[in-house]
Amino acid sequence: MSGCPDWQERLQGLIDGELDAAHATEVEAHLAGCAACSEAYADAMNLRMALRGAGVGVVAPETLTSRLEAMVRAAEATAARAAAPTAVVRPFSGGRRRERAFWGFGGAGLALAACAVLAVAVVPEMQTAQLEQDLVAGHVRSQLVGHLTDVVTSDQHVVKPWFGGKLDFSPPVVDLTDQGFPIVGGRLDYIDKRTVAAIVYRRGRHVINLFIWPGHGDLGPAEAKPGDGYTLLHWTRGGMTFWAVSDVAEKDLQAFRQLLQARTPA
Amino acid sequence: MAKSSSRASLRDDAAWAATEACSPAEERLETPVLTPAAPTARPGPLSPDQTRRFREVVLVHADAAYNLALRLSRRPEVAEDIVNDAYVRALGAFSAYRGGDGRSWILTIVRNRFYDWLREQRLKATVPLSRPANDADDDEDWDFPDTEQDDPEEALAKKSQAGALHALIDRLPPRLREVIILREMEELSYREIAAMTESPIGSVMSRLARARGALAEAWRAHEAKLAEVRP
Repeated sequence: MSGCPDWQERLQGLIDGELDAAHATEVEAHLAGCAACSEAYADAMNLRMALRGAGVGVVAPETLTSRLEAMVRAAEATAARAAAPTAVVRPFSGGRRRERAFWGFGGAGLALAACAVLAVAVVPEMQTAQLEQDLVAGHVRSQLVGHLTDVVTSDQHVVKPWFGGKLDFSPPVVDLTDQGFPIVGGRLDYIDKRTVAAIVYRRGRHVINLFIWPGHGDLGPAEAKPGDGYTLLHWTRGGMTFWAVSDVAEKDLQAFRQLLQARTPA
Repeated sequence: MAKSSSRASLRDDAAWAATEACSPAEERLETPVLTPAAPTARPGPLSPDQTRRFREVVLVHADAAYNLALRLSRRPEVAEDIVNDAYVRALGAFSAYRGGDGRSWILTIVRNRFYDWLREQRLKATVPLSRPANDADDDEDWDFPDTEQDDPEEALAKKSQAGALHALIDRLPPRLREVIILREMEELSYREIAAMTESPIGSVMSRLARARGALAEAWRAHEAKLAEVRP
C-alpha cells in the first residue's frame, strides 16, 4: 500500500471509525499534508463502496437453505415431542392437554405433521406415531453431513464388531450387496429413549436406515407412510425389532425387508 | 454498560464455540464460563422455545455464513458443507446459548470449520517425510490452490464488477481474506474480529492494512484497465 508505514494502522482506524476524537484529528491532520496517505485513504473508501455493491455478498443457495431447514425442523420435532411427554405417559389426564400437545408439534414439524394425525386416536397408536416420528427424524438427521455413519465400511464383518462394545445387544448385520443394497456403515442412534443400532444401506442414490433393537412390542401396522415421501416398514425376528426408513420406492423397501428376513437368523 | 455485558457473554459463547467446533489442535482462548452438559455434535435436546430462538438468532444468518464460507474456501460445494456442518454444531451447542450475537457466533463456527478443512487439505498436500508435521502446522499462510489457474488479468477483464472483486479477494491469503470480509462485508468491529480470529486488535489492524493495500491497488488498476477498454 502506498502511504507512510508509520501511519498504516492509525489510518485503518480512521477508515473504520475506531479512533477516538483526539486520534482521529491527529490522523486527519497527517492526511492533509501527505499525498500518499490521503491516496491510500481514498483507495480504501473506493474499495469499500465496491465491496458493498450489488452481488459481491452472495446468498446461500437453495440446496443449502433446504438442508438447514430440514435440520431445524428435525430439532423442532424432537423438541416438541420432549416438551409434551405428559400426553403419552398419562393419556387420560385430560383431553385438553393431549390436544395442546398435538397442536404443539403439528405446528412445529410440518414435515411430520401427517404422522401426528395418527396420534390423536388411541394411546398405542400415539406411541407408534411418535416412534415413527423419531425414526424419520433419525433418518433425516443421518443425512446431514458427517452423521450418516460412525463407522464407514462396506464390510459387514467390520460393522458388527464395531457395535460390540457400544450396545447391550448384538444386532444382526446382513450383507445384501449382491442384491443391490450395499452397506454404507453403521452408527448409534437414540430412538424411543434407548440407544439403538442403525445400519445404513444404499439403494442407488437413496439411503436406507435400518434401526434395530431388542424386543418385539405391538407396533401397529407393518408399514406406514408418515408423509414427506418416507416409507417405514417394521418387523421382528430373532427377538429383535427392525425398522427400515427410506425414501426409496416402496416396492424396493419391501424387497429389502424380504431379503433381510430371509437372511436373518430366526 | 449493557453493551459490555452482552459483549462478555458473546466472548464466552465465542470461546465456547471455538472449543466445541475446532479440532483439538486449536486451544481455547480462555476457560469458558459455560460448561454445557455432554456437548455433542448431534442436535441436542432443545426446548421448543430454544428451537424458535435458534431460528431467530442463528438460522437467519445463513447468508452471511455462506458468504464467509464461500469467500474463504472459494469452492461452492465445500462452502455448503462447511455451513451445514457449522449449523449441526451450532444446533448441538445451542442448549448452552445464553444470549449474545448469533451472527458472530455462527460466523466463528464457520470460520473454525474452514480452518479445520484447510488443515485437512494441507495434511493431504504435504508429503509426510519431506517436512516435519509441526512445520506444516505453523504455516499460517498455507492456502488451498485457487481454482483459477489461467491468466488472472485476462480472466478478470471478462468478469462483472462483483466477479472481479471475488477474484481479487480470492488471491489474498486466508488471514487477509477473512479480515476484509468480516470488516467490509459483515461490518464487524475490530473487537469482534479480534475475538473471532483470536488475534490482538493490533494484528487485525495490520492485516486490514495489508489486505486493503493489496486489494485497493489491484482494484484501481482493474478499473483503469476497464476504462481503457470501454471508453
